[in-house]
Amino acid sequence: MSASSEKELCAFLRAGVSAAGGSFRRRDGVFEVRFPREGAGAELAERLGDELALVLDPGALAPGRSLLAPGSHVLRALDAWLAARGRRSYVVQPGRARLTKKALRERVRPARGAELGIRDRASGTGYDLYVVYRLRFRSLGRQEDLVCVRVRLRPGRPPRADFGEPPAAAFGWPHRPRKRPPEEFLDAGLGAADAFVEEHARAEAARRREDARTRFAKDVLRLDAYYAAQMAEVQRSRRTDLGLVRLEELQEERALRLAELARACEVSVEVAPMQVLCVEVPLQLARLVVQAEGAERAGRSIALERASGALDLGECPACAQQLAGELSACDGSHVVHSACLGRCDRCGGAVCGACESPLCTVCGVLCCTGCGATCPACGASACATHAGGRCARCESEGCGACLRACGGCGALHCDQHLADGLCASCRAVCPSCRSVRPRGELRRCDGCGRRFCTACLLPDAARCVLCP
Amino acid sequence: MSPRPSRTGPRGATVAPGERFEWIEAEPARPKAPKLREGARAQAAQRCRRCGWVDSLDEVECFRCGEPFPREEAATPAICPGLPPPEPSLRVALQPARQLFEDRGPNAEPALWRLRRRSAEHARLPGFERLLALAQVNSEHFQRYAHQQRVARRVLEDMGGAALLADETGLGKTIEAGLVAKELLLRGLAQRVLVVVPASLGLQWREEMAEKFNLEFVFARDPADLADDPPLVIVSYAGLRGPGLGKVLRERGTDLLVCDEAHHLRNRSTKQYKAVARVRKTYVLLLSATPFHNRLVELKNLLDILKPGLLGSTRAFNRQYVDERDPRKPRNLHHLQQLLGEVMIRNRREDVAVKLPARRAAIYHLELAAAERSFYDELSAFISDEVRSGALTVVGPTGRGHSFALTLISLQRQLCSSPAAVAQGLRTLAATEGLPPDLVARAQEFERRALALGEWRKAQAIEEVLARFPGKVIVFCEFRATIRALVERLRAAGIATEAFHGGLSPGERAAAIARFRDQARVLVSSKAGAEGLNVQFCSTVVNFDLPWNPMVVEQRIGRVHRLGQTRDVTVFNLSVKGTIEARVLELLARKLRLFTAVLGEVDLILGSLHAERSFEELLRDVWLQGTRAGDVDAALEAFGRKLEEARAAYDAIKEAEAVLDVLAPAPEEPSA
Repeated sequence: MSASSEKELCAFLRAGVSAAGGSFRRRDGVFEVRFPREGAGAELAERLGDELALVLDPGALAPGRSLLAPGSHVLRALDAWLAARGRRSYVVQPGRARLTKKALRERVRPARGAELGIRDRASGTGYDLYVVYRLRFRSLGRQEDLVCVRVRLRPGRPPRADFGEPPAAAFGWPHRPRKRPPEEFLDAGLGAADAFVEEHARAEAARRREDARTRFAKDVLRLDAYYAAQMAEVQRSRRTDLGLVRLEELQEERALRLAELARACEVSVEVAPMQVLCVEVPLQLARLVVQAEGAERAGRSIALERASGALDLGECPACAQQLAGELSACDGSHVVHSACLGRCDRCGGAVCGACESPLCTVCGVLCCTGCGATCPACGASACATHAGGRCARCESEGCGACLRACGGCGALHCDQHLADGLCASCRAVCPSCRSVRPRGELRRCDGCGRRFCTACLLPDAARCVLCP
Repeated sequence: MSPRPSRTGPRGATVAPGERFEWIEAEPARPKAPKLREGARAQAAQRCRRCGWVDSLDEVECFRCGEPFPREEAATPAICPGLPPPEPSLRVALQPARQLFEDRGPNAEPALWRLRRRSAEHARLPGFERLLALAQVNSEHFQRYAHQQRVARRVLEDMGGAALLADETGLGKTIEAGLVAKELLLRGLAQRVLVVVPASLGLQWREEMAEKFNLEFVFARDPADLADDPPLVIVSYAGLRGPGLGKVLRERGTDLLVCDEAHHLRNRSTKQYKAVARVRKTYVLLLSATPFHNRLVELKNLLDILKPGLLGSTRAFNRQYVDERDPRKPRNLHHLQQLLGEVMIRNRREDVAVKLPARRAAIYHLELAAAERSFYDELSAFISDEVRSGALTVVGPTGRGHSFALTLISLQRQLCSSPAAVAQGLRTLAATEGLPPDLVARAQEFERRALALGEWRKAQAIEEVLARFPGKVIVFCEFRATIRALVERLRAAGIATEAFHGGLSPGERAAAIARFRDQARVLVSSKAGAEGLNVQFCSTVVNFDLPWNPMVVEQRIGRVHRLGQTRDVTVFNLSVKGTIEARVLELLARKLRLFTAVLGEVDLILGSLHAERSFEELLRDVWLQGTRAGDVDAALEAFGRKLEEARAAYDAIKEAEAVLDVLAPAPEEPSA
């Protein structure tokens, strides 16, 4: 054990023993621990004895001394004792920061010709949940992991989960023995934490399974080769009843070994929640608005954490990144990064990714909702130029992508009335080679008077190949 | 080579004619067989049938002429079509975090929450680099050597729990297996452990596991012993191969299988090999200092239990790794070493730095005084008569006939110990219900004579030893009456003496040891002191009377001849001429060479003598048969010859150990 981990273990033991009302003394490398016979520590005294002599070095073990090491029974007993007492805690983060324009300007600025404003200031509460899980991986070996999942719960925002430990200062914040977060927050937050840790556990288990699979495949190959060779040896020898029995034995043995291998390579993981810390986060809620030419063009809700002063502006609806830098508003009333703003090619209006502004499927230009249209035939977006066409024959409506020009007359036709690129009026068939050609390309045979393609007419006479 | 007697008696001691000291000297260490050398580092190779080109085994065709090399696996598709490897399963079991809010109790103090967080970090299972078992074993019974921990870690970390532990005798293979078993049980990786041993070692294993690891095994001799489905089971090889018990054990399977003295499995055509191979298991340990005896393929057979196919088929193994002229000599050594390194660990004494001081042993041959001799002869004749006539068989309250053969054997041994012990034995015999009145009367008469005996030559011999050899002495006795009498006598002679026996409470035992360490010169101890007692401050042991179990003698000597002892250890054995004890001592010292054998060797020799019965049982049978036939000496002589044969067979096996030393890779640290 390294000196630092030894020191940490020693510090923990001292804290744990004093939490149980016991006494702790270190003398000549031996930790002398006493637990009270009554009160909080009585349970520990009953389980471990009221006087303990603990050593860190296995070499220092002697009768009456126990080893203090990760995973040892003393630490497990202390852990079980603390487990009943340290499952859940609730603290309130103190804070007085206020949402000001100055604070806003430090994060974002308006685009040219626009202004940013703060409206509807109000107080609110968010929660940070820190959920500690124990992950027990079990395959051929066994390993335990502890992970702490942090879930940020803010009004009007979906819960966000990631790995993170509570800040050290949290253990000094005011404690509320009887308080719990509102049920709707709790359900969403704990559900997000469960989903996050399950995904992590599954990924970790899958990684272990990959290792097991590699090892397993190798072992199966080895077993196969071995038993095949053994059986071949038996078969090569004189055929006797004993040989047949031996073959059966080998087959049984092989099946047993394969079953053992499969069992040894199973991977499972048990995920158990151990403790949760709820941090109540005081917030100041407001609405951020973008104004242009004196009128409010767009707005969105924002929140300020009063303790840290952190401003949560939310994500840009166009690029899903946190809002920062220069902000603009589109014609669809979205507050977006200026870089995420686009212009309609037709009318020059402001559009963003969140506006569902279409790109013309024919020419690829960006259109605002006013300038773009949806083709009734194929459902694709099209700009004004490529939308609104009609079939020359059936007059059904279509866009530039679903109506095509006839190779003979050039008129737009739908797919139904266009075959081999020709409309019915322009389409002709050569009587000799049966090829489809535009009507104008065929020449009349002087012999039989029918119209043939140039390939079926003799080159130096105006007669077709069918005429004698 | 037999022990060489020397005639150097204690200086100035007044010994009777015929009495003498005989020092038993250890034979010189046998020179190791020369290492098998191969010029260049040998690789497994194959030769082209067409052009003779030699290529590595990995190649599929000849580098020179392109001729494909024959593959043994060519037969695979026809006989054993390759199966797609089954998909290892993956299960994720999640308990929802909502349960943390199920109780309506108050929230914890943040400091307590943080303490729990730290506690969970400390309490979580570490990797195998930290053995949990070390914190859970009985330290007072357990001398932990670094190599034993290293082996346990390597088996668990690098070998996936499947290994052949081939340490030299006496280096603690049982401890290593116990550590692995305890570790797997503690981590929940194993729930069931099955230990397969020669029947004579079953009880020894059970005691050792209970004392050192707090593992309570059931020694199963019958399917009824498994009625409660005990998780920890010991079974003999005979039991496992049998139809009743073996079938039950094979059907229920196990998580960890331990086979002690695994050389019993070296022949794959035996029933016990097949029985072991059919046990379903996840982890397996084979323990043997001599895994092969006559042919290298025996080692391969053992490894086929651990990792079938590691060394290929038998034919391929013989072709690639065994010298054509000598089936014990390996070839392609480097490649074979690499393969064995995956599954075999062998520690040698010089590798693990277990250095113990020398030990020397002496037999003090004594002559009984006339009164003692007359009493001994008459009582022995009485015992022999009773054994021969079989009269001491009485019908007990349950209606079953009860033989007193064991009582008579015990009486014979008490007779060799002390008048007090034999008086106690006769008193017990006389008090037996259903005994004919004339026998009771004779027993009472012998008891009176025993109590009236004034002479006690063995006690006198102890005083002589104490007078001539300085330092603290432990005197081991078999009977508590002898202990009491001897302690009284020594105290009366002004020698500070302490008694130590099973009748003392733990506190009294500790106090007795403390007084022996600080004040007393002599500790007179029973069998209780032979186990789990560390008295390295003393370096002299006297076997006042001799147990018939050589392992008990080993344990007695082991109390002082162990790690921490700095001085040479001296063992005195008292042998009264013309007694059964003298003959047994003769067997142990000369035929078995108990006092000069390396620790653990005796186990192996006795194992080859009879796998199913203990030495003590065999000796009892010999004594009974000899007594019935009227010639104990001839029976013991014949038994001695068998012992010599077993010893010779073991010496032959030891030659195979030299090959094993070459094969076994040097011990190394686990990968982590």
